[in-house]
Amino acid sequence: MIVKIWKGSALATTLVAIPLFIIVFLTLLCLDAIPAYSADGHVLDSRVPADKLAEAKALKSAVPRSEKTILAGKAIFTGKGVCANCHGPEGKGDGPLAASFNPRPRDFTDADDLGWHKARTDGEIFWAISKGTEYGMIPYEDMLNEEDRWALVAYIRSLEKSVVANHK
Amino acid sequence: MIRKRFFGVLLLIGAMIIGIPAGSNAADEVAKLTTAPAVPPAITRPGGANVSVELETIEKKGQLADGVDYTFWTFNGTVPGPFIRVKVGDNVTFNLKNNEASKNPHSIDLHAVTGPGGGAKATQTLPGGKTGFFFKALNPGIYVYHCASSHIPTHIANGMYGLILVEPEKGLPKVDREYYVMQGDFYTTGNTGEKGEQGFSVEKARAEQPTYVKFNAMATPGNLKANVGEKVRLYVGVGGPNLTSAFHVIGEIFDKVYQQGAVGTEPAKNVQTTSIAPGGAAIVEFKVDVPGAYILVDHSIFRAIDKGAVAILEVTGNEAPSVFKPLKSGGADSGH
Ligand code: HEC
Repeated sequence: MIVKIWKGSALATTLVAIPLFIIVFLTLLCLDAIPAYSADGHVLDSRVPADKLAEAKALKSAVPRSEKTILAGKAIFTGKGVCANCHGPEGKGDGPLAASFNPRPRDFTDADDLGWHKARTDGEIFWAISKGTEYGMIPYEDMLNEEDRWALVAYIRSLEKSVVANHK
Repeated sequence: MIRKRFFGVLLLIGAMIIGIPAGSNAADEVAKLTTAPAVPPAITRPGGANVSVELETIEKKGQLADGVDYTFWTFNGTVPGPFIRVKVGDNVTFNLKNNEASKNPHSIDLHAVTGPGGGAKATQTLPGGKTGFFFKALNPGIYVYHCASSHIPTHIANGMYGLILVEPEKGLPKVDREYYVMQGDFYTTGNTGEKGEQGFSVEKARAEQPTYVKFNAMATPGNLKANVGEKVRLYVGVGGPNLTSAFHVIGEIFDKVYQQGAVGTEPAKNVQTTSIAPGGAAIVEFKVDVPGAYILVDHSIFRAIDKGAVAILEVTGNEAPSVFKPLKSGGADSGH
């Protein structure tokens, strides 16, 4: 008697179990496809904490923007600032250390048309260079002086695809 | 112009004669640093001295295994970095230099430091740059130091760690030999044993699947040595970044273990294997009674046999048959 019931229910269980198993399996597959921690979705969110945002947005460059400033910024970017080691020699976010980060070091050419340049004021970029971000951008305020950091903002702005195109 | 320069030279000579100290905390002594497995001598003076410690971060190619080249990121060009020894109450001026050939900013977080980031905030240093900070060694113990520059796990995975001992006021009990051993796990782009130049695999590091696990990965080569009858003390640290070591010495029992490096508490006695977490250290002591080769391992044994977590303590002296002697040879008929 007990055996009979067991047999019957075993069959039912198996019938239910197969699709269940497939669902669980597929779900697991999908979960696996999601990286352990994903911040790619909010690349456009400001890196400045909310209570400092107004102040950061309003920051204005201490150095006038010129071809000379941009070149000075480029020299720091690829030289003593070692930005290129993470952001790549052309600022495309593809430096030797880039793979260690998620999200990746910012691509300043904005090859994916995310609209990063429009989403940021110069002040916010300056703020991120100075204070770093919680996703691994290094704080430079103790390592580079203010003038250098503003020159970097100028250089980073010059890398945006449309800016480069207008120059040609 | 010439006059100005003349005055400058005069001033410089004057400064040299008077000996104007470089900083506000003039050091009475410069800490003597040693490369693993060596340990600086015990400190005989009382605590409270002004000590300066100088370290330089250097990115340097070395050998991870036979025929396997790897670019290590180091303190002073070795992995682990130098052993630093101070005494509780010492006033330490810590100076960090980042070699101009470095490709990355570097810094240091010493677990012996009471203060923001263990010094990390004050020492973020660009290639060619110098930084420093002052700290008072408040707590005795054996502590790990490591680089804390972004991406921190990558810096640690490439070899940026070492040990600092803060001796208690009365020092540690006298022993005959002291050695410095530090374990690290490494993640190469190629498989274990694949020859040639190997890069760092961040994927394997995230998955915590090292291709190599090493003691003193790029330090002074050669075995540790002791004579029969001597007391041996090992300062054992784990740099990680990921693996907790099941530290064991094959054929020995630790007479004493300061677990978690907790100097000041009564040490545990008669321990076979002690767990040491990444960013942690322990002090183990044992008397060697029988000559032979004693193998230091991470007893998570694949790491030892297949991935390299092995070192040898060579003990020489007279046999001690009252403690150990083989009885029969292992031939085919030896069981009869
Ligand atoms: C160790 C790697 C590393 C180095 C070196 C580095 N960065 Fe970054 N940077 C990152 C990472 C990672 C991000 C993305 C972090 C995030 O999304 O918050 C980033 C983001 C940024 C951003 C974007 C912040 C925002 O608001 O979106 C700016 C601007 C920036 N970096 C500038 C620089 C400059 C200029 C230098 C050199 C002076 C530099 N970085 C050096 C890793 C680095």
